[in-house]
This record gives sequence, C-alpha cells and structure tokens, in this order.
Amino acid sequence: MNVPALMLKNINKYMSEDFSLNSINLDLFYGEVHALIGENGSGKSMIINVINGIFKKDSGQIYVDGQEINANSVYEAKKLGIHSVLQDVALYPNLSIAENVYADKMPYKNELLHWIDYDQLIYNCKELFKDLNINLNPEAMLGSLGYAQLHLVELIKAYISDARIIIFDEPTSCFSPVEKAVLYQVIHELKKRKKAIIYITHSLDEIEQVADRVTVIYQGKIIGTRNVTVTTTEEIIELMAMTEVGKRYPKLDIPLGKTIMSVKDLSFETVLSDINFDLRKGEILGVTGLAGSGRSMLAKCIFGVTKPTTGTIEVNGKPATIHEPYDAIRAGVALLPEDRINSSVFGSLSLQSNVSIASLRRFVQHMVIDPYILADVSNSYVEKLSIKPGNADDIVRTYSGGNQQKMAVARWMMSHLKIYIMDEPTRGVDIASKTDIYNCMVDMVRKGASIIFISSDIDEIMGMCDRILVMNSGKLVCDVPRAQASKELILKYAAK
Amino acid sequence: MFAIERIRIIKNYITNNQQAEVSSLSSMLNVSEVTIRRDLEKLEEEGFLTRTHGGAILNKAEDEPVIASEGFNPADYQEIADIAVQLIKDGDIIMLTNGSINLHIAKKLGSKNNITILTNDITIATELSHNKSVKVVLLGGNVDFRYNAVFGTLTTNNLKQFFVSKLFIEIDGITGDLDLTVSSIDMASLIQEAANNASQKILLLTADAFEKNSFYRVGKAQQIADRLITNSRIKDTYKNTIFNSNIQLFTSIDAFEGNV
Repeated sequence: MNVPALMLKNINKYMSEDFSLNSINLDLFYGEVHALIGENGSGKSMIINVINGIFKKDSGQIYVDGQEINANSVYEAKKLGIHSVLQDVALYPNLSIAENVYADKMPYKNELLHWIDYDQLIYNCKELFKDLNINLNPEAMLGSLGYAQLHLVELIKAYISDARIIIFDEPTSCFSPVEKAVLYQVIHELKKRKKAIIYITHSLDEIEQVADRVTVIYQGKIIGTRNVTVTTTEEIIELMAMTEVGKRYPKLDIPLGKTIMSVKDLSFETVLSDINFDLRKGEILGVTGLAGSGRSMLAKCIFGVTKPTTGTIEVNGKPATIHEPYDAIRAGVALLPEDRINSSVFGSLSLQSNVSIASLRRFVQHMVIDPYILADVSNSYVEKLSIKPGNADDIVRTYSGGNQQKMAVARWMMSHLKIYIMDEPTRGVDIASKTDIYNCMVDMVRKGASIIFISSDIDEIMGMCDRILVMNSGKLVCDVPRAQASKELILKYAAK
Repeated sequence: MFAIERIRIIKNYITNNQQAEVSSLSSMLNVSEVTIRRDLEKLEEEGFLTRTHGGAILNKAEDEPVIASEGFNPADYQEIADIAVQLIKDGDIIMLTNGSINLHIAKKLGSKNNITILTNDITIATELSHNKSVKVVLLGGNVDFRYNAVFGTLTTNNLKQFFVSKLFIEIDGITGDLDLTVSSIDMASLIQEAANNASQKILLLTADAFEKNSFYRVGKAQQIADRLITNSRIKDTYKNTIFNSNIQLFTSIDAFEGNV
C-alpha cells in the first residue's frame, strides 16, 4: 500500500485525572475523507490540537508522507502542509472578505515590496465565489458577517490553500443547509484534487454524505475504524454504544409526585419547534442531544432569558407569565447556566456574596440584611457541599472550576425553589466535585424539588435520570423512561 | 436544614444580638414559628436563654463561646440513615448488621410497610419491637456485650438459611485502597457471610471512618458492595477513588432546607 499522508502512532497525552489520550493510532491517505466521531469530550478535538502542536504530546510519533514531524504551532503545521479549520474562527474583522480569504496567498504586484494587487485579489475572489455559488460581496468588511458566514470564510481559506492535509473540526455545527451544500461541494473538489481530509463530526448523517472511513473515539481511546461503504449506520451506532460504564451514579428511586411543570408547544424562531413535556415532583428529567440541538435554548426560554416565539409554560397547573428571569424565580424556577464563567459566577466577589446573592431577601430584618445569620447560613452550605478552601472572604475567581460550580449550585439550593434547570452542571468539573453535585441533586429531589438535567454525557444522563428526552435540531425526538432507555437508542435519536 | 445545625445558628445569632424574635428567626431559617419555639424551649432548658413574649433573650451568665461538639456527632448517623431509608421499599427483606447507623435506620422504619428485618444486633431488635408494621428476625449466637450483638459460628451458620434483598453493612474503617476494616474478627466473618446471601449490598460509614483503620480486614469495597453511603466531608481523593471503582457514592449533603 502507498505511504499514508498522515499517520499517528501511539500518541499519548495526559490532560487531567479525568481525561487523557491513550495510544491513538490513526492513518489518513490522499484522496480520502476520514471521519472522527464521538461524544462531546471524547478527545476528537484534542487529537487535532496534538497534531497542530497546540498541546505537546507526551509520547508517540506523527508522520507526514512517512517523515516524522513535530509541529509546535498552527503556523508550523501550516508550513508542513496541514491546514486546520477549527471550531473557533481566527480572522481579521477589520479587513475585507477577499483579504481574509486570501490572507495566506495574497496576489502581489511586487513580491519583494509586498505590494498587493487589489484588483487581482477582488477578481480572484469573485470568480471563486461564483464557482462555489456563494452569495457574498468580496469587498465587504468581514465584521459585517454572521457567525455561520465567518465559518464559511474559514472553509474557503482551506479550499484555496496549498496544504495537502486538511482538517475540519465540526464544520457544520453552525451551518444551515445552504452552507452545508457549499461544504460538501468543497470537500468533493478537494477529494478530486487528491487531498487528504480529516473530518470531525458527531452526526451520523454527515458521515454517510462525505466520509470514506470512520473512526469512533470514546474517552480518549480509539474504539474502532470502519469503511463507510460497507458499514451500516446501525453498526456505527453499535460501536459507539459499546462503551457502557458501570453503575456508579448515585440515584435514589424517589416516588414521583404530581405534575409540577408543563411546557406546551414551545417554539423559538427556527431553533426550537413544538416542544411539549411535563415535569413531575421529585423527578430528575434528563435532556440530551448534540451541541446545537437546542438544549440550552430550551433552558433559556423556560427561565425567561430569551422570549419564546410561541408556547406556554405552566407551573403547578397555572400558566406562568415569564418575561424575564425574575418572573421565573418568582414562579419557583432556577437555572444553572451552561457558561459558568460568563453567566453565573461573580469572579471578583467573595464566596459569601456569591453563595447568598440569590436569597438575600430571606435575611432582611427591619429593612436591613442581618450579616450574622447570613454568614452562618451560607457557611453551613459551604461546609455541606465541601466547597474548598471555603473562607467567606475568599475571592471566587481564585477557585477551581469544580468549586465554582458547587458554589453556583449552593446559591440556588439556598434560594429554596421548586424547579431547578441544570445545564451541563458537571462539564469541566473534577470527579470529586461531580459526585458532590450528583448528591446535591439527590438531596434536592428527596426533599421534593424537581430537576431538569441537561447534559451531553449520555452515561451520566442514563445514571441519574428518571426519564430521558432527546433533542435533535430543535425538536423533541424521543421521550423514554429510564428503564427502557439504552445508549444505543439515545444515540440513534440524537445523531440521526 | 438539620435541627442541630439550626440550633447552632440560633445560638450564634442570639450570642451576637442578645435577643431574637420568633417571627424573624422563622423567616430567616425557612421553618415554621412552631419549630422555632420548640428550638427556643430546648435552649431554655439548657439555660442558654430566657423565652419572652414573641422571642427570647440571652442569659447574661452565658459567656463562654459556643463550641461545636467534637468527634462523636449524632447528626452524622442521622444524615446517613436518612439516605439509607430512601433505598428501602415497602415489602423489602433487609438485613441490618450491628452498629449505630443501622440503629438509626431501624428508628426510621416506622413509615414503611410490610418489611422483614434480619439482624444480629439486640438493640436494633429491641428498638423494632415498638414497631408493629415490621417483622424482625434476630439471629442466634454468642452475645458480645461490648456491641450488644451476637457473633460466631452459630451466627454465620444461622445466616446461611436466609437471603435478603438489601444488606446494610456498617463498617468501622476504610483504607485509601478501599479495604474495609472492622474492630473484631467475628464481625469481619459475619459481614463476609452476609454479603454472600444478599442481592444489593450497601456500605454505611461516617466520614470519621475514612481517617482511621481497624485491625480486622473484611475485603475490598468493590467486591463486597455496590453502594456506599457516607457524610459529605470525606476527602476528595476518596470520592475520586470510589467513583472510579464503579461504586455508587451517596454523600449525605443535607443542605436543601426542608420540603418544597
């Protein structure tokens, strides 16, 4: 067989007690699209980062055309012929679209003086856009573009580059069907030109569309590689579901009470359509789905951060009018947001202020907050949740992710509401804090609260929930009780 | 919030303010005024305060600061028992080994129906005799009066005749590698035998047990049991190891205040 364009041999990389890459072996040939598939946090992007030298590998070798390479940065990787389209765009918003597209390949009037031939540049770009059916003005500022269009520009940069190896990291996550068509056309062209392509995704549909081979990754290990033409989707799902973990999630079977919240016909623009579900007292309701399936938007709509286009929310049998988060809290609903750093933790405030900020009303006595009892009650929460180091005056910014998250959980527990929406409460959190957060959930439901638990970790959802909802492109596609759910079933609905 | 915790907070509050109103305490602590009055009554009995109309004032003689009780803490047992009781369903056949946590579980079984309890602890059997809705089977054997429980070959042979759906094992110590230890060899062999005859096995131990080891080894936690209930203040390294050994770790985070 011919020499692979790119070959990874026994790559190891230790990141944390929670995650490491374990002897990754991967090969990629010219004229081939090799897809990597796996859940969020399984290590797909990590592999790309190691190839690009953003993270240094602990051991193992990377070969390009049979030659061992050692890139130390994206720039060095580019020089070696590896072009990556990453999840975050790295473009110049104050330059025109054409300048951005050709940033690595400017047409010069004079090479030596770096004298750019602008007429040529615009002409080239116009021709290129015509070929690819892209409706953008090359002379417009890049800053005027939307998120999806920015990714499109990154995509075109890869298309015109001289690189022999091209890596796409979840390119479609923000694309509409129009942009997807461009993407597929680009990949088709690149294949014709005998480029080697790595395509990261978690959608099975896309694999059938573009890939020749697919490799399944789970928790930093390669589970297996299959040839797409001879493999059915079911086989790939089976491969992905093979990785069942033990029963280590603390789950109490609490008898469920009456319906406490009903969401009816909830829609938001094109992101969510016709969401219907009920939540019962004492229930942990799991919501899962791929990134971009609308999970977080659903949470935001219920909590009043975004106003749903249509739909009603009933709390305790009565319709609740929720225009803003304050209304939601008054109705007894709390949201632990996904983005801890930007939307929940006050990094520059003290631990005590952070913990007590949602329940100050409780401590008001004769129109003044009583500092002693406030300190006592918040200290008792800090101690119970083992938030460390846990001094009341500590500035929270200095705390670890796990402790910050526990603090956010404590804040809402202290406000003593009925319904808790927790969006990815355990993402980026160490194991010890994870077990604490699970046990907080146990504590809340056994005292009558209800939880909507949003997570992309299917093991955790299966371990903690009474019922599981699966979302796919803004729709609720599956609603099963825990006993009937299997990882295969969830994956099938989530990734199809 | 737990009663002991609440009383500690009330004590601190009154020490700081010299006095307190029932209504404000009740709103700040999220409990009814009746509960607060009951707490104040208790504190009056201790001589800590004097109750007045609608509130209480600090007794001036009481100068010494409030000291948290050290070592032995009955709240630890209570919290663990609270979680354990949630695991027991009506109609279950369970076994409680000897110990204080299991005694607390026995005290809380009043709300359950049609439960059969197998035990080697005489105190637990006596405690359950007040409860008409449960059936108690006390194992036979040599009585060890240090624990007020029965042990020995007679007991282990006796055990072979039963099969229970849930076994609650109280342990005295655990090592960093999750080796379980107890304070007598008879207790170790009793637990080993009992674990053979049960479908779900649940370990009970206070956070203090993580800091000390007893002499007699029972076995590895992951081989003996599938669940472990303890207090939330155990060290992070233990939480880590237990989670990674695929044991369901319940910690008694008893923070959420009362029912909603």
